[in-house]
Amino acid sequence: MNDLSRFPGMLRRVDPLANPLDALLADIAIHVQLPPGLHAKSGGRYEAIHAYANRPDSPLEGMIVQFYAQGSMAIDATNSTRGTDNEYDLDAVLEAAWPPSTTPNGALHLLWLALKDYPCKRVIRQSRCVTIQYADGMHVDVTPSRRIPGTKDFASAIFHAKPGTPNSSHREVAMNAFAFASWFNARTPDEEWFAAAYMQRMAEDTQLMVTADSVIHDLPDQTPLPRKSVTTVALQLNKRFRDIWSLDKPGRYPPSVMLSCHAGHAAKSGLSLSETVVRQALWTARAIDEAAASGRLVDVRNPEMREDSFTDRWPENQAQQRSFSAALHALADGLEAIRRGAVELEDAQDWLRERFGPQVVSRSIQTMNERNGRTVAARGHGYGRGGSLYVPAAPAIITGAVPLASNVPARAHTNMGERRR
Amino acid sequence: MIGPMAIERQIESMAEAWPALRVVYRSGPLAVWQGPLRPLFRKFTVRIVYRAPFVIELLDPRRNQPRVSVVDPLLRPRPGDPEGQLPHVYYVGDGLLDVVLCMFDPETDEWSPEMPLAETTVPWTVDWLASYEGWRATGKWTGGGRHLDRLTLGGAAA
Repeated sequence: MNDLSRFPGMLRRVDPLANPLDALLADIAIHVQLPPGLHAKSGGRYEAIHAYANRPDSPLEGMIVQFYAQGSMAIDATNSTRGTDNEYDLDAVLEAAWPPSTTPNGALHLLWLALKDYPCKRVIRQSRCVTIQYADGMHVDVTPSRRIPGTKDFASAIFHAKPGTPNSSHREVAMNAFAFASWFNARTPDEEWFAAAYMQRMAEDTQLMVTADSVIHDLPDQTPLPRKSVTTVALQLNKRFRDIWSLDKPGRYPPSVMLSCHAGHAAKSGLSLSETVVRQALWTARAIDEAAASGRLVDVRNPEMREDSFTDRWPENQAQQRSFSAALHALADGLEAIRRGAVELEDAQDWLRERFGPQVVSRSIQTMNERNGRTVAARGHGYGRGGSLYVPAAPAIITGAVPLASNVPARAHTNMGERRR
Repeated sequence: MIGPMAIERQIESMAEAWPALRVVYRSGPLAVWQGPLRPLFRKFTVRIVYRAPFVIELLDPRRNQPRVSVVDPLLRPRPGDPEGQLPHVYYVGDGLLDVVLCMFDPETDEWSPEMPLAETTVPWTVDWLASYEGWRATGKWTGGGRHLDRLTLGGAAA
């Protein structure tokens, strides 16, 4: 989709959020992503955990080789945790020079010993990591790893040892999260035309939220806002869709890293946000459809390390993958219908609430409605020749030479009329 | 004084600024335009009925104003809403949906027959429809304005 039907003659690159569906999806993404305040804190927390694990008298003192972000944090696509609107899971890898005889359980236990008294709300030993929980809703999963000698940079093994299970079930799992994040980031550079508009919307939202929740959203004045590519923001939306879709589904749910990998493959410059969401959704759906057609389960591998399987725990069966593919097709079809102008916002809202979460969608539509009202009242808006309302994404765009096809100026007027209840 | 814009000039300026709104009826100084507008999400078909007053007529924005109605989709009233079951409309018949949009204060100089509809009525309709879509979705009318408890197109507030 593009904006040309609403703004014929207008280059969509002028304002990537000129289309209201793109504007609304951007608001939804902003409302589900790690808020800038916590984003700014996360870097410091990584450093603090690393320093604590490496402190004098720590069981890991002098053993840590690398400590780096992985998963969504490494590609800046962190959303609130599945089923919540205000908790955030971040991931880090702690690569250490483990003694040769270290077992998976031994490595995880040693890491737990090193972190168990870390000053925070709670420290929990998991099957593959140790989770540090903060009072503000942030969780950091620290995954211990060891480097695989003679392989590409950062090619590693992580440890799997579910507490209480026999050693025979414990194992090492190959991975190269660092190389994957580098691959993704290289394929999805942030484009100025989108990044600037999205940052402006983040800034507006942050201003509104600072007063609403100072713990989560409090920001020092000069805190930089993260710059994001359209691919990353679309990925956040597809991950959110996956989260809501899977809430009432038994078993495991489609892994984020599979969606991230498909998003990286599907990356294409110049597309709008809604186009990119649809493209990513269909990319995954078609990969599943292709596998299902030949009786296989979808198999997605780390493009930087074939042994690193992103789908080793999901899907568990054909029904599971087919169900997700059907949901992705329906998502794409619905977004296309909204783009064509076939659906009123009121009806689109109900549909979007079921797919991205009721509170987030309602809040995002309220945000957009109030922004439109403010902009029209200030006569900061414009019109397209097809009768579209143009609400600029950023003040810089207002003052720029926006080639709107309609040169009709915005004039003040007073809605009147009779009130009949 | 400039005097009211002739209907021919109104038709010309409408065609230039809003080509999708076509004249579907013309009789002397009366013209009817119909076509699509898509302010936000939904494409609406609107009809604008306007009779350009003659120079010798007493100009009265309330009586002379263009009548804008939404043909498709039907507007959705919300009974009991504090803004009214349909905000900022004139009732022109007995039916719940016999309404035309009310987008300026006739007691001010916001609109007069000297002004082009292309620069007033149509963009204000876009504004109104955007507010309407937001109101239907959120319950909040962000288009501003004033209400009168009883109003007729041809006469004063009661």
